[in-house]
Amino acid sequence: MPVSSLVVTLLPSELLRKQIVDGLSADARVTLGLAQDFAANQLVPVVLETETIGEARDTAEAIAAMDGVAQVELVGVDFSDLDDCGTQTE
Amino acid sequence: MKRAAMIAATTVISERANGAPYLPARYSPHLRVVDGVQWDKAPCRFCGTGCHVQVGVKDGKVVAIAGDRQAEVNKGLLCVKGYHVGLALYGKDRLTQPLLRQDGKLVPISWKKALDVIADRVQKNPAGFAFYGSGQWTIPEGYAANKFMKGGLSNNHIDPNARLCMASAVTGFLSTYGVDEPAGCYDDLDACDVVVFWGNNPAEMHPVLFSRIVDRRSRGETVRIVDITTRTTRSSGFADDVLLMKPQGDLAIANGLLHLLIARGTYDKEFVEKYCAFRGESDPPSLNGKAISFEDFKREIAEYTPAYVEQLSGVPARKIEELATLFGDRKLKITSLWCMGVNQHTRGTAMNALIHGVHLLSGHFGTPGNAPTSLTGQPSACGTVREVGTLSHALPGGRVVANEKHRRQGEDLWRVPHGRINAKPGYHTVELWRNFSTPTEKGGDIHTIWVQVTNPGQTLPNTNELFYPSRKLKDKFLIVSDVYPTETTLHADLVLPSAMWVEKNGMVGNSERRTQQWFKMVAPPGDARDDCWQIIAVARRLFDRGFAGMKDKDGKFLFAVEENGKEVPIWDYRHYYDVNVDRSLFEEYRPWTRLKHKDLAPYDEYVRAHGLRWPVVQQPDSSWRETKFRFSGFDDPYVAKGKTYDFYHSTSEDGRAQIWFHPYAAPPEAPDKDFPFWLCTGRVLEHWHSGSLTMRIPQLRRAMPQAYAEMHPMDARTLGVGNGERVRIRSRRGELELPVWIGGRGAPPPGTVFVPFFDESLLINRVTLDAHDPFSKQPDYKKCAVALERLSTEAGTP
Repeated sequence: MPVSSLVVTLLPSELLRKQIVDGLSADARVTLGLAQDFAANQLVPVVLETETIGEARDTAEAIAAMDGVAQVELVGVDFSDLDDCGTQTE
Repeated sequence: MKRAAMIAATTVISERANGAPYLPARYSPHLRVVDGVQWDKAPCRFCGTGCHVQVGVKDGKVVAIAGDRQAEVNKGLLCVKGYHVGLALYGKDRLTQPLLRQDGKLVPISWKKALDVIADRVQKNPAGFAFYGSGQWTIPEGYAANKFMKGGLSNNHIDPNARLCMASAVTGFLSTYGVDEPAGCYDDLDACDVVVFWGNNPAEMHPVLFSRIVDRRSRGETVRIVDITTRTTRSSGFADDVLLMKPQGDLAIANGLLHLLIARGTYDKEFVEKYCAFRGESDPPSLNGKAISFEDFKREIAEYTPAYVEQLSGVPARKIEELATLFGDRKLKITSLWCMGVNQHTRGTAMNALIHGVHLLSGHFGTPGNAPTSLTGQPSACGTVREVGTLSHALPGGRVVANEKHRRQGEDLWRVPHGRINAKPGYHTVELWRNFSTPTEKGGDIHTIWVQVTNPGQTLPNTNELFYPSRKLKDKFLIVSDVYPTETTLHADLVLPSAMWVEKNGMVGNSERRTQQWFKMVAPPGDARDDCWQIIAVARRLFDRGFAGMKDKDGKFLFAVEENGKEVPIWDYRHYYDVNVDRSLFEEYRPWTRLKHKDLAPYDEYVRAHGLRWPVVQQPDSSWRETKFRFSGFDDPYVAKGKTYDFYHSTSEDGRAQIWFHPYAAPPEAPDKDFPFWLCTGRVLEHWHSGSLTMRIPQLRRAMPQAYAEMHPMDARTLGVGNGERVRIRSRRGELELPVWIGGRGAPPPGTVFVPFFDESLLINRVTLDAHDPFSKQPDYKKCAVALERLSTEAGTP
């Protein structure tokens, strides 16, 4: 199961931040770390556990598309437990 | 794995908080790190001087500013605004999210929705959508807006705020030389023996350039300063001669000089015979007038004797004669400088042409120190507005929409179908806003204006007529891209948060034809985004909806950028900095610049240099050489071989510049028994333009916290007001209450009051006049008639 390490930048809207955090917390694949303020924004470390790398990518893009998310940066993907990495990668 | 992943993400965040590089990688040869502070070059955000600063960044913030010693413009010196320019980014109320007015309130919305709203307004009726831009637009921003409107919407209703500050300089240059912008450069200030200020106050408005002159004196050089002005200022304090004139008197003074040069026989006969032609006003009036002979000119100028000029201008005849003696001495090197006093003038085109004429007739032209040079107020009125052509009649490269050949050239360069560019010029600024404030059923056919990087609610003249009425018209929609709340955003329907200065890549062009570049150094706050991206994103929204105007002739997106053969989705802000969009747009724009010999070098040359003055031409050894002195054979590469001077865009098509006869004409409004004072408006050292940036810098705000009415002590005594007491200034258009300042840094003569326009709580443009020059369409902010009434007896220092 690939494990993706993300940094999610949240915009300065308390309402939207709460909506994002509530939404992500409800997703069993997502683990949120401790957010840190950075200028007017907030950076949140996020770990994503998905069945495939493709699903990880789609989920990251879905997070990036959420209202209140400025950007999602991929720190790394650990897919060391996959049997055949070449065919799994999209 | 999960724990390791979390540690990795958290580590990245921690490193970023401690100053690890946050921005897309860029190659800047000027980048250096000292004690944890990352330094890089940028031109100052403020005025048209174009000083270079070193910007120090740490922890994602601008933490230090220093003058750049390697910069030829300022050589390490900055003015008080420049030293504080970094703080302009950090006012508490930066706009960070798009806001849409709903039920009278501005509410946050997403960028997706904002782009849809704009696209809807375009598609409502593309012909009624207008763009109001700025001399603070970067070159790529202005180019993108110009292409969007003229190459995309087939709509020429795009005009800049520089219509209000530089348009008469443009028409003055065009009618004299056939091409815009100064022949000389700042090097003239290092070589001149005499410098003449025509209605400007460079000690406060262009202090770094002023310092170049004053520094020479402090080193023991003799530089004579002549100050032609309607009120004494800090510049007057350094002048050897102050010619205190009545408003509009400059027309008479210039004609008086021309008269004396001919009457005394001290004009440069050889220069005039070889390189000049004469022109007079035509009927009907046209920018290029009609050809006249020297004898015709001599006859017309004959009435401008010193006595007559004294009568018109209020300047003693003796002083006119002394100034003419200076101009008649060809051993002296004379530079003239001017700015808003000459340009914001209902005879601004004429006044510009007359100053050029004085220099041409007297032969004070074309060698270092001899130059008539108009200065710009905005950082890129030249580089963007004038060169990229973001005016309602213009195209890039000095082309005009009314010329079929020019339109074809433009359509080929933009790769759009022939017929895409509209032949009819759009509305100029005053016309545009008047139309927007006119109900649709009464012919107001502009339904939407998108404003970027300017504050028309504060800076348009006669705002009670040109701006505020539109806000009561339900079908008129105002979009504003800005960095802070302003008088304009207060009344907008859609507000878009913009990145500013070093929060984005940029390029600008200053008063001496110097194009300059910088890289993005810090992130914009919240969801603020580049103005250029905003334009491209709206274009893409329209493209995705099938709007034909956003396709080139091959059906591709008008703003397509490819890398390795694949289109980069730059309309998606997450990918906007995957490539250098500035470089892409600039390189697309460059071929235009050769059309009128304003050649620009490749983008990377500007990365390396502290700007280059065009035309920049490639040498046999592949290096790029700038041009300091245009039309002069010793420096301008476009001057035909063997010629000393060559005005290669001559309107008489014979290589000659035009010396104009423009008669004196009275101003459209003058004091009378009901409105017995002259009102002049302008700027102060500490604040730039409408103060939306500088009033948020605490040090500058404390130094100059509010606007004031500057008046003569005699007038104050007659009115019964003391320093700090309030007066009502009233014109036929509106009124304003202000504190009085007597004995301040400026001294208007009796009968004149001066009010600076930087204060958003004291909007003097509710009072000013929107009468404008017939050719440039530039309004006159320097003279209208007002009444003054005393309001209170409470004192308070301004």
